[in-house]
Amino acid sequence: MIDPAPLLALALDAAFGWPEFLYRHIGHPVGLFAQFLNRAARRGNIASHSFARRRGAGIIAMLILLLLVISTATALEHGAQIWLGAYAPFAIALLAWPGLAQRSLYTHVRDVAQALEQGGLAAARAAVGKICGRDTQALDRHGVARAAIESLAESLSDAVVAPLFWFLIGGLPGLWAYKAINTADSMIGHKDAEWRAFGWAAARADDIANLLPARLSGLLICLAGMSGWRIMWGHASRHASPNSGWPEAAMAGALKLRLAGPATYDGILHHKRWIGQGRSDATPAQLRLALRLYIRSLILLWLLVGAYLWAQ
Amino acid sequence: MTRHTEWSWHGGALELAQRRFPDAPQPWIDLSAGINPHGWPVPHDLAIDWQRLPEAHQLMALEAQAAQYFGVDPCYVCAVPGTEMAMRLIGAMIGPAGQYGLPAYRTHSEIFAQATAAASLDEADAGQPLIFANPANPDGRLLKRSALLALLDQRAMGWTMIDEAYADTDPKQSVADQIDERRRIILLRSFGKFFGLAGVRLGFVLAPTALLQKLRHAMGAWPISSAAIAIGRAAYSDHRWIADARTQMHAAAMQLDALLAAQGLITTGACPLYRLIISDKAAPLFDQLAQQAILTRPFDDHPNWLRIGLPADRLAFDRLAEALAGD
Repeated sequence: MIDPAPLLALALDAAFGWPEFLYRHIGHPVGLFAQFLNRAARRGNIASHSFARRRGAGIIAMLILLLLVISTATALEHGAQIWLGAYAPFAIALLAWPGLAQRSLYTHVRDVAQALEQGGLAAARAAVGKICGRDTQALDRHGVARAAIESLAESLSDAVVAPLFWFLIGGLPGLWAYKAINTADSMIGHKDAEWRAFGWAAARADDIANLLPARLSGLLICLAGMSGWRIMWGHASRHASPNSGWPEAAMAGALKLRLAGPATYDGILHHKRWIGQGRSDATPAQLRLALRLYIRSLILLWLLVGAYLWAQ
Repeated sequence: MTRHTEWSWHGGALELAQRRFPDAPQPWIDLSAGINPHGWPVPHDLAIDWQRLPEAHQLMALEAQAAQYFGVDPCYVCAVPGTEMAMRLIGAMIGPAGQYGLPAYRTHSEIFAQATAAASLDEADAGQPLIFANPANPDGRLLKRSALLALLDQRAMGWTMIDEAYADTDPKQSVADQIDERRRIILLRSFGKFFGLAGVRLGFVLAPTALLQKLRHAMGAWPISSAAIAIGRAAYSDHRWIADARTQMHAAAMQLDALLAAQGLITTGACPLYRLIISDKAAPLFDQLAQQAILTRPFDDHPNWLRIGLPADRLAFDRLAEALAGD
């Protein structure tokens, strides 16, 4: 019989996201990871320590975090299988549900599109600020649309495809170990002097964990748009990250847009190569098109998951 | 051998040539400039208001008309009193360090305070500004659009300024459609060469609006005369003349090639407005033609080069053929 847990978790997330009332009452597991990492950083990321020592502390912090997460998730999974029997997949799906972000990603990006369509640049900047790291105050409407499209492509990979991939490979422990790594990467996996040593382990772990999911996401986007192959293949390596370039180049190719490129952060011009050809002035209509590609990619993903489970 | 320095600066040193070769049979034929010999016929009744300063909306209308002709959004187009001045102003904005492609139009080597020659465009520093002409002047070498797009893609950081002064004859080769607010691409388009009205002093800069804003500020108010505005608007909307001129120029260029080939002179270049002869005979050929009152364009640093513009008509072709044959 097919294990229904992955499809159930996908359906729960697609239908409800992670509802506000649940967030208020029980928070989100990612919040626990953040607490742990904050404490670990206070203890291990000390400026006066050598690079090697701080990197060692970062490795130990990641190992402890993964040990805690994997043991807890394994216990829950086994507990469910022992106590609930045939109903275990439902409990496992419930526990996997907050690890997926199909709906919240869609909602966030749709908010940006709506704000742009209604002409509210300030609202659009605020909305896109929730999903991307760059300083959004200086962006014009094209810049906002581009930032939203880039975030959508990257997040399809690291907030949907990757957690699902690790769920299929390693069950609940796989999924939550991935979420812990990904959270750690976004919190401490920075390249600046303060974090480079301590965040090294988190950044490398995230690179490895996303290796296959990122390429799979690019493939899904190209399939969904029936285009973009050439750009994905040729331009993926132009991204500074070994993974993000795949979904981003696929999106650039499918939308015939020019993403990335030279950018100014804090008044300093940063050298980034262009990803994609065509124009760089993304429009709200192209953002809507990107959302449709996203939905189609998800449909393909569900079918793929179904086929994978059926084949097992 | 005659020293050519005086007229190897730019084309158009006809008066000088007339003094240097007083015995040459009149009238002179000037083939030194690479300009359409059949200028757009300016209507005698073209309304030009000489009394008042040109209005802002008239200049905008000219830019909109030109933008349509270039195939680009009007917000990326700025009219300038000739691209010569514009490239020097822009050179100061994006310099001081910069590179120019070879062979270079002389001004290209002067616009950056710290200029270096780039022997090959692909090997130019991608982080530093680069200016080159396409088609190139004087050899007429045309970088295919696909190669140009690949080059622009490599040069995301450094400004790339392409002088498309001679691009009007083959509009498909232009990369005007690549002009984009975030890309560091600047195009220079000339009015006088294709329309054969160099004296109007009109050109256009196609660039991101942020750069155009600085350029407009540097030029100040009323950069373009009323006459240039009126002539430019009318000429760019004369689609029929434009189409005929293209056909005519390509045909005349083929005729020129045939004429030169008959004298054993092989030409290079894909731009129909001029042909370059690369030959040991180039220097004596300049004198030989000048003695027959035909002015061509020699090059100081390349004594084996001679550029020949398009002869205007049957008579000019015949005189060129005679002058080439007779020795």
